[in-house]
Amino acid sequence: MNSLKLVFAVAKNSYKEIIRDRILYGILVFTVLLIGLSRVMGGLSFAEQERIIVDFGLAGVHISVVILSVFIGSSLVSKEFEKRTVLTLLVRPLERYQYICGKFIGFIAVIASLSIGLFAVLILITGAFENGFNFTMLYTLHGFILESLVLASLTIAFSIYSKPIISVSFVLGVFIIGHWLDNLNYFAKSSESKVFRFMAEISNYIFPNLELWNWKSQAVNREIVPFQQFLNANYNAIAWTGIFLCVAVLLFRKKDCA
Amino acid sequence: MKAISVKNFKKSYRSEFWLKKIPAIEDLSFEVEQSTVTGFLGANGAGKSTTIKSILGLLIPDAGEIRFFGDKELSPETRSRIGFLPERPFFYEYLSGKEFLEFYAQLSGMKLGKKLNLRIEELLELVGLSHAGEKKLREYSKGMLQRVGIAQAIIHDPELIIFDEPMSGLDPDGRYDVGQILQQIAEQGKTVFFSSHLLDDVERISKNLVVLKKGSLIYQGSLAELLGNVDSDYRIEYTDSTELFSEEVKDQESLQKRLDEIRQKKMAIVRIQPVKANLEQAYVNLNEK
Repeated sequence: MNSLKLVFAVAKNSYKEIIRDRILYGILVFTVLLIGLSRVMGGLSFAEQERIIVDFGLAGVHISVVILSVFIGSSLVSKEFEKRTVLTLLVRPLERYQYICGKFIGFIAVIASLSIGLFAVLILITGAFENGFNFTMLYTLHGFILESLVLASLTIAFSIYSKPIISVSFVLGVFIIGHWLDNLNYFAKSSESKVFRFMAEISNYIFPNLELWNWKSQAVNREIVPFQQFLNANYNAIAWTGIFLCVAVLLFRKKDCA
Repeated sequence: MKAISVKNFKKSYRSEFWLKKIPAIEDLSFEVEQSTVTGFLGANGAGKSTTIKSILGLLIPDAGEIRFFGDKELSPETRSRIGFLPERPFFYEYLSGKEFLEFYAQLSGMKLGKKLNLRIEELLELVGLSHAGEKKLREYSKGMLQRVGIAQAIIHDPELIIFDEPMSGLDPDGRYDVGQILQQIAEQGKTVFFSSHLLDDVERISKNLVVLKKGSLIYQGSLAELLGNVDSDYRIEYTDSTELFSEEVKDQESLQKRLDEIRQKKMAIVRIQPVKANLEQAYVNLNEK
């Protein structure tokens, strides 16, 4: 119980830290503008107005969640080393794994709040149209949050030992590969190169398939997401997040905090 | 009982991943008695901060044994009995003084509520920041940050308080005030272990000393004992009835010899005064050995 309280205290402080950071508001303004732009883009089409608005709007929310996960996540822990605030935290009865968990929970709470807030803006815009909102959009939002769990935990793991710029580069690399894994597998199947097929096979184990949590096209086309697929996607996200957080904790346990 | 006991502690660094490790501390052993104020001295780069951070588990030692309050390891339970202020502290600038102390109190296992609010008020008063509790830390001056840093170190009423260069970078007023706060903490029977290279401050506050030189222990003991080992100088003032002369001699033997010479010259001795040994002298002597 006491252990949970410590994690909660770190999470609350981490939440405050990000919420009071101006960068967050920059991202927020950018996304609201992007969602607003979706309305303008929708106006250019006669028949597909709602689809374009939903597509653009969801893309706006997705981009902001990714930017937040990667850019703010990369400095979340490293900033504490740089400014040496971590020194006074770790001499408290706080274990290093509790610190990592607290930081992560606070960060995810911000991402979830931001995603829900932006989604509400999107609903306000699409709600003005007949058939503008559909239930699959909620699945899509959930998918964004699942993706952000994985990206945020990966960013934290990288940032234990590397500088923010390096962490951002690594995670953006994983983001690109993660969204291309399905294409990679498709090309590998039709390739004659054994090495290429082997590399594609290995990639499935070392990179998370980020398309698993992408239900944007289903929301645009008003398709239902099968429940089993939804469930599997959740398990998958939790497993990858768990792995990356364990790596972060293991790396942090051996780190000198000078 | 020993508040801190360090045995055969070693720590080396690798400046770059691919380079060879450089030893920072070599086979260091010392003890800090409970309910004492112990100054931790050494030149810049002697290994004071490395030792303090290793004691607190922030750096992982290569070898050695570090125990607290008798023979306890650095567990969360032990850490709840220790307070720490790092050198040149930088805290969460987006928090107000009160929020900051509340956060650290929670991390030390204290419950939110009236009792904690009272404790925060009491501490802000002790460190002279009653007026600034609602201000964000980004608006604090260096001296104010140092004071609020001291408050976070003692908010959970620890038995052992470790300060790394608590007076570094402060103006004379700030140094005096921080010194006064340390003395007040010590008067409550707490064990205070603090590093510094400001010898005047160490001499004013501490009773015991641990002195490092290039990662090795060169002295552990009481301040009085160290000063007692320094040969006192003597100042002689004498006159030939037209002019007053003054000079210093090193020890008793030199003093007697010089007095004889003055008498032979038929000059009058006005005053012989022992010059009190100070820590600076003692420290220089230690380092020269």
